[in-house]
Amino acid sequence: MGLDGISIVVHPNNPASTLTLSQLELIYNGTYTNWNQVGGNDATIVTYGRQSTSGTYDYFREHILHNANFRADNRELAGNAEIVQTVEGDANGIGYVGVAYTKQGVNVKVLKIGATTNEVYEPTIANIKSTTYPIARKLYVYTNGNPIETLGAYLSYILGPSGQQILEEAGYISVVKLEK
Amino acid sequence: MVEKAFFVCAIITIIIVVAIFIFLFGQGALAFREISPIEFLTGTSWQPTSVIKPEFGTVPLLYGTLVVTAIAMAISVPVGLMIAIYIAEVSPSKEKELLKPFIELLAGVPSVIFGFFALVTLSTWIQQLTGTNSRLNALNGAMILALMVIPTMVSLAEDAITSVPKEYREAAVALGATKWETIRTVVLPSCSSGILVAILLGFGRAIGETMAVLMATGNAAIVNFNILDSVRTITATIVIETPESAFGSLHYNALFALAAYLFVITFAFNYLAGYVGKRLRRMGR
Repeated sequence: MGLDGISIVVHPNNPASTLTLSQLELIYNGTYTNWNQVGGNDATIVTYGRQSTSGTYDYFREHILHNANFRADNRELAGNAEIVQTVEGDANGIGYVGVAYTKQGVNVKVLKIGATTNEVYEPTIANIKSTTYPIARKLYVYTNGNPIETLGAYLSYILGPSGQQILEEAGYISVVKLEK
Repeated sequence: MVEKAFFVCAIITIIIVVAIFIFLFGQGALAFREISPIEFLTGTSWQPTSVIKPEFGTVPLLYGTLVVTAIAMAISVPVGLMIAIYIAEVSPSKEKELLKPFIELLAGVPSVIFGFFALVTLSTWIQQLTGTNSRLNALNGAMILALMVIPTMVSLAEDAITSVPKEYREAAVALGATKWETIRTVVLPSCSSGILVAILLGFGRAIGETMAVLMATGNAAIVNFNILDSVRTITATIVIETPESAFGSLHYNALFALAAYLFVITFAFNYLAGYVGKRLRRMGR
């Protein structure tokens, strides 16, 4: 039903503004422990993420960590908003959250991400849609059998123009135009 | 007839407790078909959903639970008792009428509210005070727990102190004891078992509290011997992971084993405290 870009957020005073996918992997698997290893201050990296119940956690482990374990001291928080709030207050923190959670009035720096240091991109709608921004997961709606009646109407509504518009307003990316 | 109804109610609570007990230990025992008890009790890595190799070492979780509870008790026992003594023995009745309801109101605040306060406000204060890197840490969790435990403790301890007969105090004063001497040598020793119960219930609430510590401590399963670093408690682990563990899977059973472990720890502490309490009373006489 949509795409959810995943933003990598740090404290606004953190001098780092870009990361490559492999740097991100090495930070979250515990190889890099100091910001100066990725072009930041001489300070310990504190990583924040979701807990194992979250789809973002699974996506991140699969696509960024290539199924390796998260570092043992990764802080596991209960929600995207909690991660944003905590990173706002932690000068050396880094977190991953859905793009939708960095839209309104939050005081964090969103990093540009790419395969190499020369090709880094912001998680804008256009970049996520064209997959030049590399971290986004697909959102699904699961139904038991073929959706009929109310459920069918609800699904056609969210896949229809007004539903998809709400999706984009909330910060997610509509995929209907892509696939049809 | 009325008597029978009361009896049935009492029996139902016993049946429920026994059923929980059997279910917890039965499901938990299944985990040990695949996890060795030695790994479970002494392993230092908790990675139950790892793709490479799931690990079920509970040492970091036990450490998290104990350190948060211990600090919370170290704060709440003295503070709680001081408040209780003040309300029961010192404060004028008008002040008492104001203080008691407020403290009881604090006991009724939902734990999410405390957790949110710890997540947003208390963590910032601790960070400003200590300059720590990691704003969600054991101290943050322990302080919010202490705040939650104090009302329970004050309420019960104050009742215990108030229930000491007036004659005791009058006799002490008649013998020339000052107010503080009366409290210390007469009032407190004669209600020590009530105070012990207050402390125990506080302890039970602290070690079993989930939501607030989950929000306050950052939940990293590590052992760092630094109260300003993140910890992960047993309760938080159960809440975080149960919704995602497939019914009947190894991870699911391991979480039940974890719950049974917590049950045993709490039970052992309560038993120990009860034993010490008995000894104390015997020595007092």
